[in-house]
Amino acid sequence: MMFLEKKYSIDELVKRCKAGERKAQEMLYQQFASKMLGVCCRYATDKMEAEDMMQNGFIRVFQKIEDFRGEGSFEGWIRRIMVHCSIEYYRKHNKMMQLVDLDEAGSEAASNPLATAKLAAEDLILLIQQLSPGYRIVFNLYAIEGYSHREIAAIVGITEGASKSQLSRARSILREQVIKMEGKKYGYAG
Amino acid sequence: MDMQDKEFDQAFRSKLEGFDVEPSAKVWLGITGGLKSAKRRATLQPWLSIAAGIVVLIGLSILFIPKKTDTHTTPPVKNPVAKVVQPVKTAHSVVPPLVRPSVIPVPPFKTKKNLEITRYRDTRPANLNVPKNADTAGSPAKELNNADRQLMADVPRQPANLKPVVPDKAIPLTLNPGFDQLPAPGIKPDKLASQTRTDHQNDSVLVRQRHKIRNFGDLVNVVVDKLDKRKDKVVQFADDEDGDSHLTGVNLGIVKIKKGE
Repeated sequence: MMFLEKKYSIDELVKRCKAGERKAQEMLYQQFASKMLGVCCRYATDKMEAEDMMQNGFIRVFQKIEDFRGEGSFEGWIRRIMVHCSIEYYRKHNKMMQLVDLDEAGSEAASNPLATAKLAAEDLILLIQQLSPGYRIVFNLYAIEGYSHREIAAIVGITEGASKSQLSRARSILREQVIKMEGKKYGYAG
Repeated sequence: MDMQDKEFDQAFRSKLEGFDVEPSAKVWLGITGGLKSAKRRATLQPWLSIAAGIVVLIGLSILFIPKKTDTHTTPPVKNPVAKVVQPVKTAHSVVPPLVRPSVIPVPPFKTKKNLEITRYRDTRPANLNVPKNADTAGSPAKELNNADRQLMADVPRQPANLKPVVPDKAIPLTLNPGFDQLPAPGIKPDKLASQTRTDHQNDSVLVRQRHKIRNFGDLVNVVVDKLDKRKDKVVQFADDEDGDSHLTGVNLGIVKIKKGE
């Protein structure tokens, strides 16, 4: 069991949050905020948008904390809420499934699978953020979160085929961009 | 999915799994603000629902509660006949300037028979200025003295004497009025008006008593008449010449359908 600075376990904080204690909510927020902002950054175009998503996500967490029964990890539960709130954010702002991309990659992108090895996480986040929202969401859900195409179709509201094709396009674009970025950083181009 | 795609996804996943970003301080303030407003909304919601329910009830009651302008429930002061007669008090002339109402109010009776009776009855106040005409010059009323006339006027007239006649433009709107229908000189117009009202009430009671339930339409009309006091009822049936009842009107407040309009 995980213990915090003041010897409050996650379970105890959750219990106090269910009672509506603002102090416990703040402690829980501090415990997970930076990690969840990392998740939201993958779905957003910049940090400000990611913070908006996370804010909505934590409000939902504290409103729905009664529903958490302790089955599974609390972090996984919060993470799922953050992902859903991020997608909802795009739905609300009408940015969903824009298929226009900043730099359309060819179908035959660079085939080096380990091209990301030299890039830092911040660089990869930057590349993901440059994808159009539709590609970004599908790539995040499938490649990072581990959802199936059927689940993605249900969450996002598209067909399984659309999910597959968007994932394929997202991968192609990312491969292209990774090679370009590595070429800029380390002096070679593929 | 080929191996390259799996390795590509895995490379991203492993690099981004532990990716943390420190949020700015305003995020927590935004969360607390959002929680407060959501709580306020949650407390207000039941009250808003109750208020909305009351507004809906008031709206429905305005639509469906019967109006007080119905002829059966009209208070005496609002009687159009009384209004016509009232100016006599201030007028200089001896004979009241009775005016035939441009629109004759017809109470909402359903059958043709009743309608005829009602029309006849409502035209009577207009006939009250008939005494000036020569038609009555030779009537026996002239030979009666004032005391007799007073007595005759005070005796309630028999509604059975009424004959259902539809007034025609060519024919003067009079039923060859006898002396019992003429205003006696000693009677004030106010008294006359109240007497006319009493007669109206007696007539309508009589008409109601005479009305028999002969078919389903009549039954519905009676029930609806008891419940709905509006001029245009929720549902109205009328008998045709064969005695069959037919739906002639529906009034749902916003939607009104009336046969023949």
